Amino acid sequence: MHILLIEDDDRVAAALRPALHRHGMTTTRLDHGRGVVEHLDGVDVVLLDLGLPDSDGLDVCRAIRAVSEVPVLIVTARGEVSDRIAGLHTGADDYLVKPYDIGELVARVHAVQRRRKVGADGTVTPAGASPVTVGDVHLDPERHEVTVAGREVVLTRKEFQVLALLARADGAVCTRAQIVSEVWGRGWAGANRTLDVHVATLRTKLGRPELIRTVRGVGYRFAATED
Amino acid sequence: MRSRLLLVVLVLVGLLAVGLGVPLALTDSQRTQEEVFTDRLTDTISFASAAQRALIESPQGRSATTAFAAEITRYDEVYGVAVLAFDRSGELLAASRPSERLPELAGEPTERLTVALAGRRSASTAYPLLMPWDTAPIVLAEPVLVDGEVVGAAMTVSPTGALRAAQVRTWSVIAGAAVLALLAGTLVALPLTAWVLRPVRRLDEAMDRIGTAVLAGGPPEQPTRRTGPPELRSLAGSFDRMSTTVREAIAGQRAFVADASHQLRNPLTALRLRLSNLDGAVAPGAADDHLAAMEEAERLSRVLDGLLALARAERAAETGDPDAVTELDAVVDDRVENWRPLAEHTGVELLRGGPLGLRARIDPAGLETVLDAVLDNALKYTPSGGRVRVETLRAAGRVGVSVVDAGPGMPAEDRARATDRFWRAPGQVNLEGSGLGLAIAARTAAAAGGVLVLDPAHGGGLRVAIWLDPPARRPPGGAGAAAQ
Repeated sequence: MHILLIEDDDRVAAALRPALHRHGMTTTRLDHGRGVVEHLDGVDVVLLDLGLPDSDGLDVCRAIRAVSEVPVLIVTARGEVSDRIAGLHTGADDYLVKPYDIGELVARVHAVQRRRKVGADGTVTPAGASPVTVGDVHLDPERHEVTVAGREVVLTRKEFQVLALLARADGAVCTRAQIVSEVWGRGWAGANRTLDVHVATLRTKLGRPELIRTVRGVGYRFAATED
Repeated sequence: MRSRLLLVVLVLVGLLAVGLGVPLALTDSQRTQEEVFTDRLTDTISFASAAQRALIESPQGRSATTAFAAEITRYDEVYGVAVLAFDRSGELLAASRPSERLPELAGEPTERLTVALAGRRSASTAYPLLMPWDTAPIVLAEPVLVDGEVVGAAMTVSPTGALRAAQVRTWSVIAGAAVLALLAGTLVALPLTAWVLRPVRRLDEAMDRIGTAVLAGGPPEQPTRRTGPPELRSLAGSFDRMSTTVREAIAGQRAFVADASHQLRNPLTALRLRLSNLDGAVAPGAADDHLAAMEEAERLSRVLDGLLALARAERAAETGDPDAVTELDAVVDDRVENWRPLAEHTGVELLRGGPLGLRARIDPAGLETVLDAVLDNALKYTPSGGRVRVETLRAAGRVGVSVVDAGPGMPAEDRARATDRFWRAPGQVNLEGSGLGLAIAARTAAAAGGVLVLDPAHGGGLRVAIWLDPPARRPPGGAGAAAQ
């Protein structure tokens, strides 16, 4: 996967590039916003910093959107709700606030790429509506049902949402911020602890403690096989 | 200020009244006394000439003496003025009344007699102005001259009662006028001082209002109204400039916090990336340190988030919607629902109570922020098996939400400081959290025109309540329909 990294801070870029390379990605880096559209060939995902020295990042995003359907992930220090809304309105696929965790960044890069691909095919399945089976755990989002080895497990709505999210990620890491924002709508002071509680309850209720793996400092992922 | 101005006006009016009244009173007394004096002087002179014959002829001619005595007696009876005649040696020759009813002649009358016997006339010596308390009579003595030679003296002794009574009456009228002038002065001065002070008072009120607004980060106040004298208008101008400066300084401070937090995000991002790049590359013995460093970076970013949230809360009053209204039940139920799993996990009972259907002036996100911060604290300090009560409140025209925990509570001095930035209860320094939660809650409450109050709860815990204004009353007409 080839990433176009538009980031004016040299030290951030220098730290980020080896991290992305370690996750099997190649990178091209630009430290300015002008003429970005000339570098879009062969790019799978654009990582766009909004605080650029020569132009506003939102204008750059609009310029990209005008010529290409490439997934754009805004990565910025501006974290206010209004900034997020503005960023998503200009055509960005996702919005990540610094300082982020590399695991979360990679997870989101994969996510935006997947979404764009699905959109391009035109074979969109309603997100999370299809049943998922992992090992002997079967999840039916439509009927809101979970069975483990044929035995039904009663979950609360939030517990079910967390489980479904992890199952859909198909083994990829889901960061805490991502799970919280999708299940609860937004973060709050006790969100992370609440999520931990839900995960602990899920492990107990499912009777499969190894199914949901904790990725320390990042979040959780589904372990499909006993590895 | 008002009483001082009043005093100044009254002193000026008083000085004016005294400055005009006293000379007027004295001049009037002088004039009246001079009339009496001239009148008596004429009489005395005529008695002196009438006494010539009596004096010259006294040893031989009884008749002349008798006629003179009859004249002066009648005069005394009519006017009440004693008339006396003396010979050259100062011996009393004739008197208008019996000797036992004669006025006291020692002292001044004797001096005047001596002067008269020396040949000088009364008109040549000024008579001192009589005061109302001077009971001494007016004594006039005229020499009796025969061919230019002093043969004796005639004297009139006039009681001054009527004169003094008239004087007292005049003076009373003048004093009364002065008092009236003072009263009128007061009546004029009262509205006058109010008029002078009105701009000052208005300025004071404006200062008070703007001071509060500036601290709460409120919307920019209208400049103070420029009325009143030029000096006060200029003061109001200076004050407007000062409040603008203060507002800018505070806004600058907030902007600095926000900017600094933003600027720290890039190096922090780099730091976290570098740390995660080291993942798996550190020596086994250093793995713990590596993990701890990552956690520190995580903590640092939480503090930054807290600082930004604080800056946002402080700015909320300027940018927020002042007409936002929240249904308390919806937000409270939602937050209780969100916190319940955590509470149950730690063995704490989370209860919801209070009246339903309350509405308050705050935007829902603001109330959520406050409740999250307060619930976070309450659950942190409540031991397993305890209970946390969330209640809607309605009292004294305000509405609110309280959270009562079953923790150890807080002494008064800690409660006073608990909403300070980065404050932590003594002994809780290492507890998770940025120490900004209650500070953000308090400022969010203030931005909505409310207040966050910390009280001891029954049973030792802490009771944190946010009090808010109810929404503005609906226009009349809606209430009647609602009553049905």
